[in-house]
Amino acid sequence: MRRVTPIVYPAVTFAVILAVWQAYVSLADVPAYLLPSPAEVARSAWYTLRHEAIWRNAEFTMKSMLLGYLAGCGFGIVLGALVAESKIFDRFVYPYVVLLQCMPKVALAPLIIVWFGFGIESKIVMVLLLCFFPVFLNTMVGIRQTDPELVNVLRACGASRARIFFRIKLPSAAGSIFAGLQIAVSLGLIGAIVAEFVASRAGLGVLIQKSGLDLNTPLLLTTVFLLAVIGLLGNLIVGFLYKKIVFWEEAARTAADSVAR
Amino acid sequence: MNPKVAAGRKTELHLQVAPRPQLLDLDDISLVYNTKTGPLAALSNLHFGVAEGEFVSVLGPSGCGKSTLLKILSGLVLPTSGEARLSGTPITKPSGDVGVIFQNPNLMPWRTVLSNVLICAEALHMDARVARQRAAELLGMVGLKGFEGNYPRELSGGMQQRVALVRGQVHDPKILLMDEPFSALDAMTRERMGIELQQLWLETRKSVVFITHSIPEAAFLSDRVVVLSGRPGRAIADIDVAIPRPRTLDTMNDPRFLDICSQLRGYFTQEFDGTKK
Repeated sequence: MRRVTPIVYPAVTFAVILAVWQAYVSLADVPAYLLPSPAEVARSAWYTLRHEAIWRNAEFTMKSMLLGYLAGCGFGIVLGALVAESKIFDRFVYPYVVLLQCMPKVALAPLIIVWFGFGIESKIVMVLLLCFFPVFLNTMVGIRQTDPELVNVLRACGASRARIFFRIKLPSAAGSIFAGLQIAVSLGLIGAIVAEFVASRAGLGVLIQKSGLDLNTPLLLTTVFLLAVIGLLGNLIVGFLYKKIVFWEEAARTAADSVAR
Repeated sequence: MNPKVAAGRKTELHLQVAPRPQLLDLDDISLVYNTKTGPLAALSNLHFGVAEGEFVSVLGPSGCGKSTLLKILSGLVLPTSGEARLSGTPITKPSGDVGVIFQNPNLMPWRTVLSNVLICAEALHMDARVARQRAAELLGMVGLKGFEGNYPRELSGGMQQRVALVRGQVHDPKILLMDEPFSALDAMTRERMGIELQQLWLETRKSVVFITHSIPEAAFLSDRVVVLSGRPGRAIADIDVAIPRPRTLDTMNDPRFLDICSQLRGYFTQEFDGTKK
């Protein structure tokens, strides 16, 4: 019973929105290319989702998203740890990372297309760029915020720096790192779509652009909803891992629950 | 026994050298911190020793450099002058010869009780089987048998500090350093922990340097109490607590106990009057 109740409230909101939308479209006689009725969108979605084309494009987007996400987060964690732990990296590399962050990376999209082509490579690089920073920053801050008393426990028994890093600092930072991984899901998806908008041979971004030009609004909305589902799925997976890996943090539990609901 | 140490003893310490072999020597230790406002002396010519199997409390007002002393003894900080020696070897870096119990339990929330207890033994590359056996033994002694698989957040503050107590000595160090280990606990738990610590000590007979603010705690637990002055900390007295063990809650009403407490308290009122003048 308790598990059902929280789902009921947003479901009511959803029903109300659909009803108002349907009523507005039929009463004001809005043409379908401006705003199709929910029924029309549902019909289009039912048709589209049974055909292979959208899934081929979805696969392209999800693949670039996944590979770019893994690479970007990987770089973010490694470089974040290096900057937190090493004075050399802090002095020589950190200012440039900040500079990179201040630049709107989306503005780099045309250049990345020039360098990496119309294929999936340029999309992966774009996703990588967008995923990198939140993970980098959260890793760095998380490691620096390690309770020095916990570190002293191991220092007092003569543990090596590497041991202190892996046994104390990295687990301490895990919650913060996961917060970065969570943000990176949404940013990475933005990166993938923007790169596809600029130039691409496939992807949901291409589909959105094409259906926009064709005034095929039902298809456009279907694709956008599909993207939202992909984003939600990514968030759920990261939230699930957060809950499993950083099990000792109460905050992790509630954050993951709020996403899961 | 180092002749230089004996010769260098301050005359104002009415101290008898224990017949037991000397384990820890603090030889004229001074430590000066460089702060923004200039040098700040934390410890000044601190000089005392701890014999094998002896329980020595270091008692002093806040800011007398007790935590600094602990850092020197655990090898995390080197003194500006003087030397701390363990079995005659100068302490220059952290090692497994010293076990530290901190003011807070400082347990890793992602590790179980057993795994927390073993963390130092692992760092010291101790044989895993031996370490586990010792851990089980010590956990039993502090009444935590059956809690090996629990996580720290499932334990009370007193239980967490007991885990830290075990962690500090799983690797069988020569000496235990305790930095106000019970100060974060409530008064009742604190009293009980004192009695438990005594029991544990009676079973293991490990040398202990116990740093504390509490006069009754120092008097209750110790063979000797070293009194430090306010900053910069130097030893102003070294008092034997000749009350037989095991000491119980009734000991706290024993005239000898009360006498020692008032004697100890005397040093602080003196100190206080001195600064008022």
